[in-house]
Amino acid sequence: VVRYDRIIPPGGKGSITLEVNSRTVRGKFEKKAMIWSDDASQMSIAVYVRGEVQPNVELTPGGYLSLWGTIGKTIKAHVDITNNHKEPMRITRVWHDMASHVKWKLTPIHPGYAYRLTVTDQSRSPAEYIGHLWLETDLPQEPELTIIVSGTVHAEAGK
Amino acid sequence: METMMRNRNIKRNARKILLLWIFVFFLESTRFAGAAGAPLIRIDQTIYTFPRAFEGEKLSHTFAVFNRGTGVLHIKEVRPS
Repeated sequence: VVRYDRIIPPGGKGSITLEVNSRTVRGKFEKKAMIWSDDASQMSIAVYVRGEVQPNVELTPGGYLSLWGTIGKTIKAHVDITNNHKEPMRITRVWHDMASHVKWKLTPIHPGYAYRLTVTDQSRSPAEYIGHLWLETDLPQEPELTIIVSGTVHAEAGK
Repeated sequence: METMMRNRNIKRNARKILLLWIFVFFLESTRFAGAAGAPLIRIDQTIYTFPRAFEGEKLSHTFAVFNRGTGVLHIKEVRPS
């Protein structure tokens, strides 16, 4: 977003404001804006804003879990949840939309700051599914986290 | 005699009015020349680094733009990329 004064009198001062949406950038960033004026000696000038945006909560390895395997064997995967704020974060609720396919377990690693969510497949027959797992937190900046889960469960060999 | 005096006064007044007009014209022309002078854009700081921020925080910075010239500066467009 850009706001600026269109007319600046001789000897005067104006302003150009640049706003960056920190929801759309991640990590280090640099944004450039070209200023075009009627100064014949310098018709355009570039200005830059730089910075670094840190996520409130990090999901490692990411917000996606893949459960792949054979019925009768343990099929599970986990995601680590890290709170980057100084204030502790509690996970107040976990729910999903995959009916009887999965069960989950939340283990505090460093209570308030790091948790491990383990998701295990419990399908009784071969299945392919995709769904969501939601975590409700008490962190005002990130009240809800979403993890996408996909599952591919094969029959045992020879069955 | 009286007519001569009156004519002389009229001439003197006419000269005064003419001089006044020339003076006013001169003032206006210098003012006009100033307005039509060249603008000169100056931005002292063209790079700004925000302090480290969290996702969702407001990131906003205002650059100061100066016109060091003698004409009005028009900012035609500011295009982010």
